[in-house]
Amino acid sequence: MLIRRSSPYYLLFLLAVVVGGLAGEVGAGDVQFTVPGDAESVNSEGVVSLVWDGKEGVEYEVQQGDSVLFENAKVRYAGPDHGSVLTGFEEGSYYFRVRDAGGEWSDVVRVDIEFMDRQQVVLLMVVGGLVFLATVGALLAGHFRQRGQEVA
Amino acid sequence: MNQSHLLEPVTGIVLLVVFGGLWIALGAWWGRKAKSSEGFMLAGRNVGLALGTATAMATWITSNTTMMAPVFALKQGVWGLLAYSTASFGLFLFAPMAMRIHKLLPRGFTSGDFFRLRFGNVAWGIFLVISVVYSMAWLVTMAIAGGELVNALSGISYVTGLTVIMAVCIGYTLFGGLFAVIGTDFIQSVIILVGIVVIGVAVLTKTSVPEMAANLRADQPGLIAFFMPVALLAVFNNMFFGFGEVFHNNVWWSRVFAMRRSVAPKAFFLAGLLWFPIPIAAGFIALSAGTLGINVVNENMTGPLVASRIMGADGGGTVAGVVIFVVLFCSLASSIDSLLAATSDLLTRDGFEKLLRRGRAVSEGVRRNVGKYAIVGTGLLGWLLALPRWPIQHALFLSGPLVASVIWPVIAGLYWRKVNRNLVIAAMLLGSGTGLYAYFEIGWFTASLISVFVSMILTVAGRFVKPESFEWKGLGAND
Repeated sequence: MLIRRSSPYYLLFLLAVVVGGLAGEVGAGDVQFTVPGDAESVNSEGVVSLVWDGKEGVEYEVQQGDSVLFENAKVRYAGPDHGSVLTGFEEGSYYFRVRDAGGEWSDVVRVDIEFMDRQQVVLLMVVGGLVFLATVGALLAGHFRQRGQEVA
Repeated sequence: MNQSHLLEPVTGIVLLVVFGGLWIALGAWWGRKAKSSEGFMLAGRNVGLALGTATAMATWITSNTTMMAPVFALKQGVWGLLAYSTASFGLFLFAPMAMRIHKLLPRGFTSGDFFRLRFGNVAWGIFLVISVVYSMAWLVTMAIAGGELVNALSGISYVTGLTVIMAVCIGYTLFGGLFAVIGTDFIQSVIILVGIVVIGVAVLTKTSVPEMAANLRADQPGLIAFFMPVALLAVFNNMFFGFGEVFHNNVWWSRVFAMRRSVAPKAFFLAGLLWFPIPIAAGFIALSAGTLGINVVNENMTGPLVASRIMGADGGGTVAGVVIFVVLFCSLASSIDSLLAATSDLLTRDGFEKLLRRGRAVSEGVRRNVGKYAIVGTGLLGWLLALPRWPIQHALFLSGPLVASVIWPVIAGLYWRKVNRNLVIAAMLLGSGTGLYAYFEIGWFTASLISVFVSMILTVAGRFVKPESFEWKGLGAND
């Protein structure tokens, strides 16, 4: 161990852990995300739906960051609503937190945007293109073949 | 979650009462023309080009067009706009099919008639299940949208709004049949076109395309990116969903039978042309949300929210609310009435006359009464299923693989003299099954595509593996 149990520094360490944990509980914002329900979630459409609890008539602020430290954080919403649908995300990990005016930040949620495998997408697109051409072709071929004929 | 209402509840109630009363009065007035059950179901088989085009276009402008197209744009960006507009291709391709349908079934009543005569009772039964399930899903999504619209715009409870809109649509369809449906469609199509243009212009007065593009690049780059898998696949998925909806459903076949023979192909083609820009315009509104600082809380209400914020920003809140209400009411009503009429025709003609009565003669009075009970029953069932307020997109897209599986059987049935019926049946069943599997295992954006692919393989196989010959004149023996 880096710190011996008999050492006074160990006691200080334990105290710091306990106080830090309590601070985490007390300092955690009154506002928390209810959607997404988990701290980490995955989305394949590039859409992040956020819903948070909290009082009515209060202004909220939602931040988006590239990491849990929220350096270069971007404000994605500021206002009285309790939710926001954010779209147009490219692949990557995105972190969000919310607070009411003057309050503490909520727990952070992370959303990973993961698209379908590129090869799978290309394959399905090719299938789609072929089916489209075949469908239009069959219909038009039948139409021109039958157009001048009487029903027999 | 909360977003303020654009209309006072009293204003919402007044609008519901005024429009509801007006539409029912129109239904009763037009209904005088229906002297027989054929007149009630098929508007005398004499609808001309203007009304034919308007009814096809208005029916296809559903609340999904005005409310889901913005959701597609919000979530899938520019590709989402294009994905939605590919639904017009179904109308284009139905134009030549309309010609063929008129030729083969000059006295036809329903799409079920065609399936029963062409492929036999087993295929007909599967077709009826698919058609009724899809029609009810469509009806339920319209009903849900109606309740949500009234609630979002005016604060009137969801159940009240849902109930009033359904009651109005049932009322005028009951009084006027397809005459009322087509007549109100004409008025509704004009209102919708004008309303969409007004709202689109209002958006452009608040922002510009370059400004929107810059904002999207900064905050929502995925909406203008080329490789967005869900969006790209949605282009094909939506297109095949649209093909399946139009090719199989009695909403469209009844219009073919209602129009004059020379009119039907032109009407469907023109309707497709007029419909094509509507979802693009509706979706464009949603792309401006970020630029204008509009926060979307409920994605299903993106269109009405953005439109109301833009038009209400200059102090015209109530006027904006009224315009949006009227446009969305028209888009809802123009589809709900068509569904009620066409589904009741299917239940009356195929369910009651052919299935229950086994083709025995039915008096005119009994046929009309059964038809009316079917309208009320379909509407009531739609209302009941809408009460839980499901997510709209899920309710409708689940039926996508079902209808996509019927695309190739319809083409084969209309144009191929020889095809193996058992393989056609397998095409519908396996197409539906694999499509539903894809829906849950891969995603909604692949379901219709995979369904039509499987169905195509089996149907084409049916042309070469023990094909059975069919005499086209067998379709003309309608009773």
